[in-house]
Amino acid sequence: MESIVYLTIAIFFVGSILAFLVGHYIEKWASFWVAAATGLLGFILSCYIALNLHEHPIVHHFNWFSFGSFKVPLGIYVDNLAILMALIATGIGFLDIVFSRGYMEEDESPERYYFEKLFFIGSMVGLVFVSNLLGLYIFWEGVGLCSYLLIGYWYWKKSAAEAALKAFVMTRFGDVFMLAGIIVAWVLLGTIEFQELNALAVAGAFSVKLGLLISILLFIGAIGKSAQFPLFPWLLDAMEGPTTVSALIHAATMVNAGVYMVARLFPFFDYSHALIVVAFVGAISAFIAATGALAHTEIKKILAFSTMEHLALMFVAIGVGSAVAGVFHLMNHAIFKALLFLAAGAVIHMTHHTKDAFKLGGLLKYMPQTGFLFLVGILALAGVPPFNGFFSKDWVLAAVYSYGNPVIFWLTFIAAVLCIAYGFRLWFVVFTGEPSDNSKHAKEAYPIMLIPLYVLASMTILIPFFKEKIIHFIAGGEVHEPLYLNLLVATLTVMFILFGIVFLIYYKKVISTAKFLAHPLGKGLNDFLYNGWYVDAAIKWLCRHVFYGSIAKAVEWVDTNIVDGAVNGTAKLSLACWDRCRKIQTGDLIDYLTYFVAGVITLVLITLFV
Amino acid sequence: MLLEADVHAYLFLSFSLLAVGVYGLLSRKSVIRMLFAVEMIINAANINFVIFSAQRNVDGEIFTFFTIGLAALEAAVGLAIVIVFYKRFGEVIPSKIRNLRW
Repeated sequence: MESIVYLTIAIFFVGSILAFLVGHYIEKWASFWVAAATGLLGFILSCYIALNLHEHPIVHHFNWFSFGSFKVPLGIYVDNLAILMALIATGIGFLDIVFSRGYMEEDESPERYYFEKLFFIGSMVGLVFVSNLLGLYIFWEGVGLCSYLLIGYWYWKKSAAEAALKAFVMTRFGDVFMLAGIIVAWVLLGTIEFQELNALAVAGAFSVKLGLLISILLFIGAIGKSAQFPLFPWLLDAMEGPTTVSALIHAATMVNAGVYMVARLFPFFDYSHALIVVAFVGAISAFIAATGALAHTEIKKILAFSTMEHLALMFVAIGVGSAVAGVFHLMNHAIFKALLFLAAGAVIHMTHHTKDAFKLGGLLKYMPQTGFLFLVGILALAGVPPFNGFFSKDWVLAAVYSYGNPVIFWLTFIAAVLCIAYGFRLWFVVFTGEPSDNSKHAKEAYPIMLIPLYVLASMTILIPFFKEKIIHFIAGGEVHEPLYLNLLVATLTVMFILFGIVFLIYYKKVISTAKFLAHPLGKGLNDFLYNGWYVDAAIKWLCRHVFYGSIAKAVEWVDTNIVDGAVNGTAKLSLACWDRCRKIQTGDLIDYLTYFVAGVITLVLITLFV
Repeated sequence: MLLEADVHAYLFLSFSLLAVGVYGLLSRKSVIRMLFAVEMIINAANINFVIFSAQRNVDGEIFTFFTIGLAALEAAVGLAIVIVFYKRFGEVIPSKIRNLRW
């Protein structure tokens, strides 16, 4: 079995290079067929591994390299959690590749696109299969690199290039801390294997403080990668890339990596008392994101905020001790978010890259199937029964409720119920009302784009039927799912009321938001939410004034005055010495002779008297 | 065999010769005069050779012939340089020609 796991990782990297070569030398769009075949094969292999996994995880270790007695281990550890993540990455990745054939039809260099895409999926598959933090870190950076390349895919657009750089730098900022955490764990605990770290934590073999330090450092990496407060602005800017890339980043791969890592090291985080931090960061992020989505006007950025919110819900679920709920929500989110992003991609593509939702309208008439599929995605996102989002989100809320921290609960609860408000706000604005000029020329999406959407939409409906089995698979055993009827009723009631309000504002248009927005306070609040609570501006201010203005300036002063000063001072000193010494070189032969004779006399005197 | 006192007298002679030669060398007059001074220094050394070989019964005086020969060559080359020197600068006072410096 190990060889098949290695093959699954390798196939994507081989496929990516092959796709590029085929596309470059033979026929541009041949790369699509290579990519689709690779994605499908990777998905089939993942399914094969999943079906043969039974109770025992697949474990294989080897020495990557060694210096004397210092060995650098690498290996694979595939259990239910890992294979579920791989199934999400490969399955949704494959659908995304198929969809891209329609979305990227006008593209000049599909071979580059598919190369980066397969590399991305391959990195994610490697990330979930490796057995230790070092391997995770390598693929983690691989994922980060591909996100940079793909967000900046339209590199000639300044905004896209800057967004790519921002995503890279911001996630790298978290990664530095993560690397520090790995090093601390390696030096002080002597191991970086996930299972050994968890075993040490269960045995209580190290102090809680040390565990907390390592957990927090690793979690900062996860914050960067999974776009949590305060390192989330890159996720919004990442919308500059092709929408299919957003779907891949947001649903199948990159942002899930942080959640995966925390879930993977759950016993370690639990022992270290780090879970409360995870829960708090998650709750704050969820609240910021949900309110931000409520105010934003771009289709993709609303979805980006919602991704951030749902990732935050996963973190909250893990943070309150229900890792299974978190992972279950991760899976459901991956499906409906891929559906939403791809449907949004279809809308954007068919309306000639109109990203602003308020410049669209009445699209349901022109794109009925896409509109219907989008609605399914929104319903799943909002957590309306019987779609898959309902079950996992309800479970997350129940877990938070039973945890008993009111701050975390209320932030999470508000964020969770707001999904329906911003979801339907988006849908009503885009698909109902008066068609705008942009909408009138829209046509229904191509079949090759609709098929992946139908697959995803049917999965949002089918997953609840296999809920018990899936949860059993994730947990590797029976799980007691908490059920609070009062919470359930309250959630559904609030959601219904919110739906009613949104319905009145954006469909019936009986309530107008214009007056609210005209008022300076209302406008200020809207701007505040629209800009993600000005976290981006705060980070910029911090960078400019604290890091650049103070620290960088201080370092620059030290560099120019002390380091350069030492070098220049040496030069000046020798110059001054030379200037004085050269005076004895008069050019007069007699002077030289005099020195010579004086020297000889001195030597003679020394030999005589000393 | 020379007496110790005689050796001292001769050494005094050679030292005086050396001192005069060095003085002549350093007193910055013409190049010709410097050549003379060099001859005197060489001959101071020659005297030492002769004295010590006479006293210790060694054959050091043979070096005197070499030095005399070398001094003659040196004078020939030196005078040639002096002529070139004069042609180039129009004078033979070394302290007035300071081209050999930075």
